[in-house]
Amino acid sequence: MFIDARQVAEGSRLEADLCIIGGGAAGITIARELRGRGTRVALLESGDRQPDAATQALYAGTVTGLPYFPLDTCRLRQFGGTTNHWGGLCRPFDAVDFQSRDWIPGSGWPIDRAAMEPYYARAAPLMRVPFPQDWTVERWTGRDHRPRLPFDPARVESQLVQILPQRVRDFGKDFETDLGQADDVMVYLWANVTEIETDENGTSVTGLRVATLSGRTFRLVAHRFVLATGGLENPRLLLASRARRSAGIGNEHGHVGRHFLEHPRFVAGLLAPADQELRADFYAPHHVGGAEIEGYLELSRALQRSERLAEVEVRLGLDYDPGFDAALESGDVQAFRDLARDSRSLGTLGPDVLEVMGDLMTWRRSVLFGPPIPLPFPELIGQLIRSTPAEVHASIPDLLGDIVATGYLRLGGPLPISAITLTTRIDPQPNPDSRVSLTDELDPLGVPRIALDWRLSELDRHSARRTLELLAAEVGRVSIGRVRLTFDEAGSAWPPDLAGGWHHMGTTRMATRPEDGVVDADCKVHGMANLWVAGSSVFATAGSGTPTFLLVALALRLADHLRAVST
Amino acid sequence: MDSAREGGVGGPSARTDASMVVSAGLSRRILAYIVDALLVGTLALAAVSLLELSVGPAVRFVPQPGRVAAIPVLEADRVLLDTLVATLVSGLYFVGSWIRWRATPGQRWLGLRVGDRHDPGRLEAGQAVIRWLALGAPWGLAAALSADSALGAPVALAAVLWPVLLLIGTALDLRGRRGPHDLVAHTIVLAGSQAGGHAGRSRAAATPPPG
Repeated sequence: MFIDARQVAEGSRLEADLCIIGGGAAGITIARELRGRGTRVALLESGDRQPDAATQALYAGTVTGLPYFPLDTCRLRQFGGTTNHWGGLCRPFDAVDFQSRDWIPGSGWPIDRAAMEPYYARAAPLMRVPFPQDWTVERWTGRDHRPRLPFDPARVESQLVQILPQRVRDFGKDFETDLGQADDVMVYLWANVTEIETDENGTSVTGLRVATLSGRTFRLVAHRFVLATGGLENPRLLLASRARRSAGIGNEHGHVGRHFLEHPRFVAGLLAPADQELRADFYAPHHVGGAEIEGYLELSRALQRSERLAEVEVRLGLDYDPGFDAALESGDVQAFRDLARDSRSLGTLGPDVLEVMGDLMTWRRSVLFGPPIPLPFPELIGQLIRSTPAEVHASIPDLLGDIVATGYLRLGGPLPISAITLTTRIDPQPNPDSRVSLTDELDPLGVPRIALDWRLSELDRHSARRTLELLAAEVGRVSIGRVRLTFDEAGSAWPPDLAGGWHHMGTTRMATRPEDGVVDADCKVHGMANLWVAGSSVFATAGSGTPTFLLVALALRLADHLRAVST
Repeated sequence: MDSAREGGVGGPSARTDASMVVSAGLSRRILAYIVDALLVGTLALAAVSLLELSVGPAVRFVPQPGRVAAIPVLEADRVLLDTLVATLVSGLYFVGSWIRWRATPGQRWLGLRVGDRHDPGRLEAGQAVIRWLALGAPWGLAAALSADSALGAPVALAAVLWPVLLLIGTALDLRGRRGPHDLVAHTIVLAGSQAGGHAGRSRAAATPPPG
C-alpha cells in the first residue's frame, strides 16, 4: 500500500514491526520478501515514483578528492532508487573476490561465495537475468559464433557480463504492484528520515524522525530497522544521528563513511590490429538467444597472484568509422529499440515513430525514384566503384541510415576495425582515507550534507599499468597487433578521463570484528541490537562482479535473516 | 462501334463469355515486374547519366573531417530534372509497350497480356496511362520531394510501401487477381493462351470460373 507522507498528521507517531529506510533495489527487495508473512513493514522513500527536483537536490554535496560526478546526479532519490538509471550489467562476484589476498590490504569478506550461491540463484529470476548459470565464456561457445581473442588462458582470460534489457532494470516499476497490493507493507512516499534515534546507551534504535519537504514531521517506531539508502547516504544518516554519540551510530571505531570504493575506469591503452579484419566483436555488446552479453579481458587469477596485482578488467572499445560509431549510439537507433522492445507511453510513441521513419528514409539522399523502382544516382555508383572496401563500409550509415547501419553491423558481421580502445576498470584496494564525511552545510531538512573524498592507492595505479603491460606482451606474442600504453605509472596524476561507474560501496563495510568494519556477516551494525544495513555500502571490496546483482542477493539473504530473528 | 472501341488498341474485339477466362497468376506477374523494373531502371539510369554529363551531377560528395567516406548532398533542381527524365523513360516504356503490344517486355516474355476488364482483347490508351500512374505515381512524387522537403520522408516511405500494397491488393482478389492499379484502370492481366491475340480468339472474359 502506498501512502503520501505529506498527508500524515503533523507530529503523529506511526508504528511498524520492521522499518526499511530507502526504496531502492535493496529496500524494495527486502520489503517484497517480507510481505504476507505477518510482519508489519514500513518502507520510507524520500521521493515519489517520478523524479522530483527538490527531492533530488537533497543529494547535493561536495567532492574534495579525486574528480567525481556531482553527488546529486550519480544516484537517484525516488522510488526504485538508482535502478532508474542503471545500465543493467550483471555478473556475480568470483570466489576469490570474497577471499583475503595478502597483497591487498583490507581484502576479504566474512562470508564466501558459497554462502551467496543460494541467494544469487534467487536474485537471478527476481532480476530476470536470462542465463543465470552462464557466466563463463565456455558456456557461450558455439552460441554466439564470435571468436575470443586467442590468448593463453593461463595469462589472459576472456570474461563476460550479461546486460539486462532496459524494461526490467527499474525496481520501482517492476515491483510497485507487488508492494502496492501487500496489506502488510506500507510504502511512505515523500518521507525523509532526518535522524535515527537511539536509546540512552546508543545501542538500540528506538525510532526515526521523518520530515517531508512540505514541512510535515512525524516519528516512526519499530522493533527492527534496515538502512538501505545507498553507499553515500547510509553513512550520512549514521554519522548525522549523533544525539547520543557524537561520532554517530555504529561508529565506535571510526569506520562509518571510510573505505569508500568505486570502480575507477579510464582509457589506458590503444590496440592497433595487425589485420583490420580482426574478429573482436565478442567484446562489444551483442545479442545471443534472448540475452545481451559483452566480453572483456583480465589477467588470469594465477597471474594476478604471482604479480601481486589488484584485479583489473579491460574493456575493448572497437573503433569503426565515426559514422558507424555515431549510428550505434544514435537517437534513431534508440527510438527503434524503444519501439521494438519496450512498452512506451503514448507521449513518446509519436516522436519515436517519426524518428525511426525519418532515419529509414535517409536513403532518399542516395536514391533517385525512377518509376517503378528506386535507382541509385549515377555519380553514387561511380563513387562506390572508386571507393576502397573501408570507404564502402563507412558509407553505409550515411546512405542507408543509422538503423540499417546498426542492423548491418549486427547481422552482416564485423566491420574493419581501425583501432581498439582499452579501458581499464579496477577493483581497488580498500582505502580508509577514501571516505564520506559530513560538512557544516545543512540541507533544507536540517541534515548535514556530505563531502566525498575519493582516493585510490599506489597498488591500484601499479595494477592498471602492469595489467596493460602484460596484456600488451600477450597481444604481441599472438601477433594480432600492437598495444600503445597511454597511462603512465610515474607521477601522481590520474588520467583526465578517470571516472567511476556510479558504484558507491564500502562505507559501512562488512567485517567480523567491530574493529575492522561497521556491520557483521548478517549486515547488522556492530554494537546495535536492532539496526541492519542493506546495499552496496556493506561491500568489503568492490570485486570483479557488478554491485547490483550482489546487493540484491545480499538483500535476499538479509530478508531471510530478519525473518529468522523475528520468529 | 462505340466510342471506346474506336479509341481502343489491340485490334477488333468481341465481348465474350465471362466464365471462359483465367487471369494471370501472381508469381508470373511479380517476375514480370522485376524484369521490367530492371529494364526500365537500366534505361532510366542511362538516360539520367547522359543528362548529367551535359548539365552536371545531382549529387555532390562533401568530405568530412575524420570520416572515411564523404557525405552525399543533393542539388534540388538537378534532382527534379533527373526525376522528370526517369519518369519520361518509364512512361514511354510502360505506356508505349501496353499500347503497342498490350504487354511490357517482361510481360511478353512471360506470356502475359493486359486487357480491358470487360473486353480483355482491347486496351485503351487512357487505361494504359492510368495503370502506369497507379503503378508508379508515388515513386515520382517521392522523387520530386526527395531533396529536403519535410514531406520527403513520409512520401518516400509511402512509395516504398506502395508496391507492397499493390501486391497485397492483388493477392487478396483470389478470383480476378486485380490489384488497386487494375481496379482504377478497369484492367485485367491474362495468362497463357488467353493472353495472346484477340479476345475473340482467346475467349477472354472478365471473371474466371468459380473453383
